[in-house]
Amino acid sequence: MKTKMTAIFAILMGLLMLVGVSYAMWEKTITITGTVNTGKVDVQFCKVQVSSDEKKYVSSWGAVVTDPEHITVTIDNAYPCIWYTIDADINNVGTIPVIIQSITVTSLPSYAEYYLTGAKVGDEIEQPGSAIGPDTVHFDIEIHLLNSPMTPMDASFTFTVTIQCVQYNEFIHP
Amino acid sequence: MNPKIGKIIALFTALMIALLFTGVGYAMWQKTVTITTTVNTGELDWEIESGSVTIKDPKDPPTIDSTCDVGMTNIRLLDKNVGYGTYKLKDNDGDGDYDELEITLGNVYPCYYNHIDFWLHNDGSIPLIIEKVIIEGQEYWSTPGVLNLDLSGDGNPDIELRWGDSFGTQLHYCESVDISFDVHVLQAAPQGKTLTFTISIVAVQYNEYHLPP
Repeated sequence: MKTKMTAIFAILMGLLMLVGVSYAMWEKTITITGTVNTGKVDVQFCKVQVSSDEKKYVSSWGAVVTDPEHITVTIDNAYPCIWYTIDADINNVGTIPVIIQSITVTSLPSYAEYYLTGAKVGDEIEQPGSAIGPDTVHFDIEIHLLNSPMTPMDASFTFTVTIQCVQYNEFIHP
Repeated sequence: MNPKIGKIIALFTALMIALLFTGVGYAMWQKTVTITTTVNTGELDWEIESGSVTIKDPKDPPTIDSTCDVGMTNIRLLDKNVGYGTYKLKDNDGDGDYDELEITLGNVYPCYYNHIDFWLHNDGSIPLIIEKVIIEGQEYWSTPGVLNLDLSGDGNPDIELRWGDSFGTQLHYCESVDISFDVHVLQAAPQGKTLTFTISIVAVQYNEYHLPP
């Protein structure tokens, strides 16, 4: 029994020696450490104002920047033929240039009309500090209630204007 | 005389004589020839050549960014300078040569592409062979093609990496080889994050190189 154990031990030692020899092969490793710091696409509204051409100050209006990417505008006691204007800037606060990919208006009733001036699809907004161009685009949205029998009195409606900005190299020409 | 003492004296005398003979044997003339052997081992060493690193889109000078399609095809220039690449060489083992290339791609975004090129130089005294490349812990013994790497751990690949073919290249003393790789940022890359990857290039002494398993 003792002889057997000794033999196994000797064989194991011999094998380990062989393994040791193969691990002792010389090698040298060169290392490449890569760090990828991704940028950020981010835009927000600023300098938001609402105004009107109304002279009698019957209506009232106001705008609240709910969060940097959302403006809530409320117009009370509105009536036909008066123009209400929302004007604001879209600021690029990210690190990547963006382009306006789309501007969509939803839930606008047929008795109201709007005109958007300033910002348009394809406008480029550079990142802050860029020497190429401005990091801001200004826009006006004018809202007008039609002088039509369809325009209801004492009613309320909500509509949404969505401006989608994409990183400059992902812009798809419409 | 006591006969017992006489016996002891006789035995002692016999022992002395025996020792004398032995002494003569040891005093035999001899001459030794000595071989002194010195083994100076060589050095297996290679380095990243200082000044050999080139980045297609470096930070300085400001350069227009590039992009490509998935699979590293259709590589082309964009029209803005937004992202960039920088590098730093390091000597981690303090042997006086550079053994680590630290690449940083800054302010990059989906579809951004960059190409990094450098030379490896045998500055040891033993020929070496490039055996394998270990990319993010995975060994490659031949060109792996375009690899998708999930560096953020969200299950989606963040970059594509293409490694140039240099496997099995033998470098004698003072010989160099051009190595390059491409990085392409994919759509799933998270915004405003730092993602890292590691590539190790293993060279072995020329006579210990074995064909890939």
